[in-house]
Amino acid sequence: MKILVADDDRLLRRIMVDGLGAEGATCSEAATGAEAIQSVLRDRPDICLLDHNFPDMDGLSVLRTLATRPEAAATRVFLLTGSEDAALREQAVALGARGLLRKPVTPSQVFARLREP
Amino acid sequence: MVQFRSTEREILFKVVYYGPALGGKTTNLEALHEITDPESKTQLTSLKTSEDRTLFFDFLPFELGEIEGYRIRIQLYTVPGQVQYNTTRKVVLAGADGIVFVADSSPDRLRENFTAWENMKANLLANRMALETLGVVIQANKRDLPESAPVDQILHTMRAEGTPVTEASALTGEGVIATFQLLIQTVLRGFAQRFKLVQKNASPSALDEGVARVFAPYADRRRGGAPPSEESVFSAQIPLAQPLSETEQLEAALQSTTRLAEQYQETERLSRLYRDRLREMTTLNEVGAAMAGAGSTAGALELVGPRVREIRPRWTVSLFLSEEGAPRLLVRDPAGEDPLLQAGLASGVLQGSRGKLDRLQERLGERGVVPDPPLGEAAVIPLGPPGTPRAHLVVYAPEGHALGIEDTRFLGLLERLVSPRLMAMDLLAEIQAANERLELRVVERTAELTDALERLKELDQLKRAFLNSVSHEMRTPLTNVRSYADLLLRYPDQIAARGPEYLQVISEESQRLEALIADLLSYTRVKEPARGEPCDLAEVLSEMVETLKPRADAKYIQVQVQKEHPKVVVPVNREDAQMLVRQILDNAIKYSPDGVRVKVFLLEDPRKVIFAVRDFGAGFPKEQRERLMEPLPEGGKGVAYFKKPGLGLGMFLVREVLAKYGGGLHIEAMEPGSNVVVEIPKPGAPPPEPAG
Repeated sequence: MKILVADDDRLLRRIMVDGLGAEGATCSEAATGAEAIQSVLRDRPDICLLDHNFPDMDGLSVLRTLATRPEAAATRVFLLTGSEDAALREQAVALGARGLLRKPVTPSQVFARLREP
Repeated sequence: MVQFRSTEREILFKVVYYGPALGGKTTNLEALHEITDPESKTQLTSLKTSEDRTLFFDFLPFELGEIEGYRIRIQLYTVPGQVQYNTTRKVVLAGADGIVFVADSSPDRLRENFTAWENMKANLLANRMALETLGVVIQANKRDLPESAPVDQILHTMRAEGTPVTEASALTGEGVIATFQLLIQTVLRGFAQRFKLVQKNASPSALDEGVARVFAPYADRRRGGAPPSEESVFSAQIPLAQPLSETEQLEAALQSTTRLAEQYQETERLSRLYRDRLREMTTLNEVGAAMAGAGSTAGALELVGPRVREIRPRWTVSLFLSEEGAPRLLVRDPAGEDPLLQAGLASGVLQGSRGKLDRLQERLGERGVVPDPPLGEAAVIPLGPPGTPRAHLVVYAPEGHALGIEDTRFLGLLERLVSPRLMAMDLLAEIQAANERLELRVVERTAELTDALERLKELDQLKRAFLNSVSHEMRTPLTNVRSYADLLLRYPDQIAARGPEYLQVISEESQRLEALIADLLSYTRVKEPARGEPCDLAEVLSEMVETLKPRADAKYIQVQVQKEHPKVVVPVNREDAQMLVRQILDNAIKYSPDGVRVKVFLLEDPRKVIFAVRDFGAGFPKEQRERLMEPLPEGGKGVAYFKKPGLGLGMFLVREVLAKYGGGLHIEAMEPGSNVVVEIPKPGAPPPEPAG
């Protein structure tokens, strides 16, 4: 399973890469929104954990771009946010995201969520 | 002689019961009284000797009622029968309109009947009265005696055949009414002829029938009920050792008559007095009732003046309302000018009047006031609470008249009625005003409480937002610690390869959590009011640079301090100063890239101390800087302030501390990095000059 961890927090990326990697996933990283788009289109990961607050753009903008690209259609995207926000969830799902992951979150919690049907 | 008062349509007759001694004349009157007036509305007057003999005369007034439109009143008299009292008999007989001759039916007293009859005729002659012009009825009394003489024999002995006669037994009452009725009919018939009433539709038979109707209810009544009450008989028993002589008897009669006249006058006077008092009380009662319905003090008092004059029509009445400054004339009855006002004395006299009733005569005289037109005695009656009257009633008697005991009593009653009413009205008004004030206060207080509740709700929301924010901040390092701990537990085989690396993160994140908890504790302290000694900011700065050195070294950051003076005292207690410096320095280190410098400046001018930290990193994230530059919400708190994401507790604490000491903070964006400038005013410094 290929997972892209897209977040500007270096520590968070490191924890996810270490944790999900230990479970057998192949992880790649992105620190900005632009890198995230590039990486999805190029590597076509199975999963993308997408932060909502990049210094250059927000997660919804990333989703909006990906929605126009057929290369990204196979990637399941989960939006990482600090707050539980129903409106944001609706918007994200409308743009093709599978769901929201509330930060802070441990790799095992992410993995459990990914195993859900 | 009949008294005929044509205008009042009233006829007054005098009827005399004549006859021998002990013949039953008084008994006849007693029976009449008892039968016709069982409720004793009239009084039988009777003066007797101890032998139960009539001494002077008996007297009974009798109201016959109306006959043919005339009100007929009859005065009944008896005469004493004893021979020696002839003068009395003569006097009583004078002016009689009718005579009932009560003859004794005892066979052994027939001669006395004759003697008395002759005596009567002689007395009529002496009074220049003619038997023919009078109504006369002979009553053969004591018919209940076992051996009574036949009526014919009685008349024959008296030589009075042809005179109308009745039979009676006065002791039982039998025949008494019939005798009286017959006499009245005889008298009225003669009267009608004499005054030619027949031509005015008063036929003799009509009169007879009228009289018969009056007596019909009594026709079957006999004596034998309860004896007449003591009040109904004015009777006196006069003990006589021996019969009085004619002169003595006359003297006693005169005295007695005088006393009776006096008593009559006294009775009349008393009844007049009671009538007047009844009228007063009725009026006062009406005044009280009317005042109870009045809306204002003036309205209530306006009713009083005219009502006083109903009781004392000859008085003049003024009513002054006590107002600030001068008394105001409310009522003047009859209309005119008040003498006190005319003389300009109203204020002085009325306000000086403290008693319940002050007589004004002397006081007016002292001041040389001569009312025009002249008046009699005058008095002032203060009305209302004692000492602070609401009004003054002034009454003036007509010229030459004084205020008597009855007047004083009446005015006293009036005062006792009116004053409490006025006081009650005042109290009622006060209670109403107090109620209104209370209602207003309740409304105000409710609004205050509603406001306080709103503030409490907001504060509560604020607290929850703060707790949310803090718990989120704390959960992040904790989650990181747990992530690596989980990893090491699940994959122990990795401990050898990655263990130290993971443990390093766990250690760092634990420290971050510890720092957050320290901040939280600081927060509770920072909310406490400022106290403690001022401190040396230069010393605190050196201390903090030393404390944070490991963190700076880890990022190869060099902290440079520039200060003008070795000692810079600020009016901030040491703990607060430490926190201020630590937070700002820590922030600068945290947001600077590895290997750069962080510069710290400590400057001072007469007004303030300036502490600035320049970093060369990405600087403050833009969003944080904007949030920090926002003016603090009211009172340094606000829900929205916490709800927005991105602001750490650290910089919030900085603002709180500065707000506490009246200091300021601004952040300048530099290229690269930012400059955080803190200003702390010195104590006693003049207020800062207005910006610009």
